[in-house]
Amino acid sequence: MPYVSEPLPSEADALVRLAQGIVLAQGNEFIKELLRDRGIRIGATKADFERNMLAAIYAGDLRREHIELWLNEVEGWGNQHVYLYDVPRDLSISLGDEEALKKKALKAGFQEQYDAGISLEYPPQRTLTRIDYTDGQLSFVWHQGKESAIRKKDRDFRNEIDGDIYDFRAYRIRSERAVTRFVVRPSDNVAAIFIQTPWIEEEHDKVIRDVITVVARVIQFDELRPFAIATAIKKLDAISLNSKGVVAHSTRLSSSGAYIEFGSTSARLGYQDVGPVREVRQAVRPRSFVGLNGNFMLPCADRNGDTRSVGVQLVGEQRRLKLGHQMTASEVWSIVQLVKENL
Amino acid sequence: MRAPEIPWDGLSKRYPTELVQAVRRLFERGGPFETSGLELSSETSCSPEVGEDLLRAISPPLLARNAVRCASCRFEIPDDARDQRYCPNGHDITDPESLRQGWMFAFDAARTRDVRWVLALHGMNTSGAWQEEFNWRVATTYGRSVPVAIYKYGIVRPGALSRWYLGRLTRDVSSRIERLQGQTDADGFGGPPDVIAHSLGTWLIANALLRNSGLRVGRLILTGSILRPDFCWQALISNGQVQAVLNHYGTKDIWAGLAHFVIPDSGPSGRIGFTVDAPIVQVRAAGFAHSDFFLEENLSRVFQETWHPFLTSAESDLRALSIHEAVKWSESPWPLRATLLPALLMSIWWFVVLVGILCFGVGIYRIFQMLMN
Repeated sequence: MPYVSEPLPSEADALVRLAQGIVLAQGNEFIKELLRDRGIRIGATKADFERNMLAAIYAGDLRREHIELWLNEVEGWGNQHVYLYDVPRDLSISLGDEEALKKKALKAGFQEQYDAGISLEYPPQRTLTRIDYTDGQLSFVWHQGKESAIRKKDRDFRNEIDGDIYDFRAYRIRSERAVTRFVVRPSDNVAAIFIQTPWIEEEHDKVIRDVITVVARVIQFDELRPFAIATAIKKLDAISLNSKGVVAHSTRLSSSGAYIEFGSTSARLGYQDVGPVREVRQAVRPRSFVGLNGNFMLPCADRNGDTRSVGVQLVGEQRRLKLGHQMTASEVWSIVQLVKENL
Repeated sequence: MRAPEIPWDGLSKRYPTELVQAVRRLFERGGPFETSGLELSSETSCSPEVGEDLLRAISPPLLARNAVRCASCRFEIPDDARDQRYCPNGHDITDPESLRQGWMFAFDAARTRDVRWVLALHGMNTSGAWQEEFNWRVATTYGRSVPVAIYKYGIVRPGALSRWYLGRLTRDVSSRIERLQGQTDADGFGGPPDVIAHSLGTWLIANALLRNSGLRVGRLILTGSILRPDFCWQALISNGQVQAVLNHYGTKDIWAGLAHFVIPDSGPSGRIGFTVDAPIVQVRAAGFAHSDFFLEENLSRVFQETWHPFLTSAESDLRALSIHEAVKWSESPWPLRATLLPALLMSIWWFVVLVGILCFGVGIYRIFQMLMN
């Protein structure tokens, strides 16, 4: 894909479409950050963001490279499901050789995708758009355009047609891009598949199979070992007993045919904030249980080191994480690191 | 944060007593909570509206807020997740009809503290029969297993006068705590122990902490303390070796008053409290003698009213537990300060022992002579 710094008319149109999608899909804080970084007027509402962003694109103040840089950090990070894998040391060493990986990727037929610019397209099918090796990590990125319907009650209306009353319910259609990623970070001995579609077992299985089929042409995927998320559930739950920045909203632990579940009814409190419930939790010996699932607020740090808490769901049997907030890449990796430290 | 002042009597006149009692219990148990009129009234014959009225009447200190929940799973959707398409359990929440709103009433307070495991250290003149009673009290107070390690070092009488012997006991206490801590970590109890010490036990634990900077304990309860009133707790607390200290002292504790003259580096802190401005809790037990805390008629009350709140209150609430009037103390002149007196007493003790052995030997010899003749 050619790289241009000045928006051509067709490129500007693609950027406008992308910007409109971005405004609707991304969190306000992230959009503000992009506009602030470029010195573009921000505004207060999503409508303001969209208007100011489009004006900046037409004026040439917001260009492809700015959006690419920003998208790299925010698009497809957070609000997604993550499957984590441990990378054996021997494989990590071989994955540190960028040139060898590039040769392998090119030999496998990925000339078009290797080091391609960030796609501005909304392909109807999940399409591999980019493979790159940046900052010591190998990434495969797929994009898929999709439409979603947002209920707009204020646009509902009734109409009489042929003597009958019809009730019309309004939905606003918005275009989105779902990003699927496979990233391997040899320095951390970790690899991950990130999926942005809602969890439906068959669908995720299919995505994972497709990802493996592609990735296995470049690296030895069968040497990766999936993380034991069940162990992380128990450990994070135990950490939250001591209030060290980890808050457990709910935890379900099973023991060969039965389970116990602790949960908070409030978004403001972890279940362990409530003394009598924490007393019951203290009576549980974790080694007699397996972590089934847990909803936590976990601390994460962005690239500037600023921290905040984000909602993360861990599902033991599916070895899956669900990141419940829009996040940046740095924040996602800090969550992955936290989970890895608690295996 | 301590429980706020709420006119419970006045509320009982305006609202059903069972509802008022239910909400009062929430404040009294400590820590944060959040409830609704529906939850509060569900175990009573009152309607949710009456429950909500009562909660609104005590806001503040309660904070009323409108909570938005997923209509399918009742999971609360946090403010910063309102623009999400799915609730954490995967239900579509883009349609306003998929959400429900309701009033919640929250009380913000620091979380209460957990007691993980406890170490009980007895004094010099007993083998610590109170430790068993204390163990029973702990076991029946918490709704779960709280292990109590009972450390018995035997009856120590002349040995308490000897620095060498006290040093050995101190090392034993230190290594015992470290060993038990390893076991409790493995069993999932985790963390350092809370410690209750009496008499010589107070001296041993404090000196174990001074000598071993890696040793950690949680909250420390001292009764009948024989530590110097100017003992520097600040250093141990700053170093993270002790989370908090409660000195529960009896105004009629004779033994704590005498300790300074016979036991090295000791003093009457179990009778007058600590005099330095240390960030510790001091509670005066008027009329209590050295071991009165452990009498059957006192132990239950002392545990419920003083020790249990100290062990479980949030750190920010601890200072409010103090009942103490500072008293000036200065150490005795050198000859009286457990220097010459212990040496004299030890000499007498050894003299008595040697004379006893001599008499015994002579007696045996005489009996042997009589038998031979």
